[in-house]
Amino acid sequence: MATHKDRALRWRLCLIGVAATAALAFAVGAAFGSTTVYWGYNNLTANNPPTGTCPGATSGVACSGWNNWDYSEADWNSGRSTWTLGFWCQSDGQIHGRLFFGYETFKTYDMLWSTYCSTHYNKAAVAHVNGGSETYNYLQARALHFP
Amino acid sequence: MKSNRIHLAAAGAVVAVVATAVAAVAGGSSKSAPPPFSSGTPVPRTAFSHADQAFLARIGATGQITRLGLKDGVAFYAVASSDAGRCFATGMISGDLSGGCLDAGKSVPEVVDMSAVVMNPADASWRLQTLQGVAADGITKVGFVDATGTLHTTPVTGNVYRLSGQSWQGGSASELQAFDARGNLVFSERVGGAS
Repeated sequence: MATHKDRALRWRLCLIGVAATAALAFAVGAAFGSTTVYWGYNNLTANNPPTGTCPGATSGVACSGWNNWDYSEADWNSGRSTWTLGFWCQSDGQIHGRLFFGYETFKTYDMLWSTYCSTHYNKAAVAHVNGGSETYNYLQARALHFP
Repeated sequence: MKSNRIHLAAAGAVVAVVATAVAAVAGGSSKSAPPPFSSGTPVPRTAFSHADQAFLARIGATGQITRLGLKDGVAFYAVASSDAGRCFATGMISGDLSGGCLDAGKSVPEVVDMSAVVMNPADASWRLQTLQGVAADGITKVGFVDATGTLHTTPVTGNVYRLSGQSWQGGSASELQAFDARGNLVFSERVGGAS
């Protein structure tokens, strides 16, 4: 027969369990966030992706949807062409990012939104930069959001 | 007998030349001694926010952090990576970092450029707005050749360079260049990857 004390103890333990689970979920979310892959792994070239794959953009531009993305990320695998990684900023409709000439061998590269856009609601974007020998970069592009 | 020795010596020389050539070709992707970036001061990981520490861990920048320099309030960092490679990051003095780690199996370039561009997504035309990055010891000036072929340079202080507020049109003639104290071109990279 459970006494009043037993029930109270169980209730407290239950509350602690719920609180601990919520705290753990929050911590895990804060640590890992969410990742949206919007390109690749695939070749990024002057013609790939084709025009309009990223709405409103010419060929060679890939982008995520609009969101409060925190980082624009690329996992570069191979290739030797010039490209840029950054954000399609809502504020001016332009892609702002870092230029990779093609000689770099960075693996995962992360760009923080606030360095490139004045407001948080943007698209993550990656783009082939025209010129020189028309080669490629084989990579995956991702948009990261942390709670 | 003497003739045989000459033939053997000649054959040995040919083998050596071929081996050297093969090594040189294969060496394009092999690791050589990294160029020195001797400026900078160590920065404890705890000096950064949790978000920046998580960013560093995510890209594999788990080793010692060195601030190579500071220019216009923008800091440039070198960090040892978990696989014994080099990582480079930039951000404000207070943090807000962006960056990545080089493939540990590849050579560290003498210039790690981190320039910022703006691109019109409708036609992919682009302009370089900030020329910035880190350069190895001995490089005193880094420049960008714009679409018209005009060279724009900025001095390297310590191991960092930065020139912001520009709007140089990029194009197929664009190139990154670096010079030593005598004005000799010591590094160049054309847009499109053609040196």
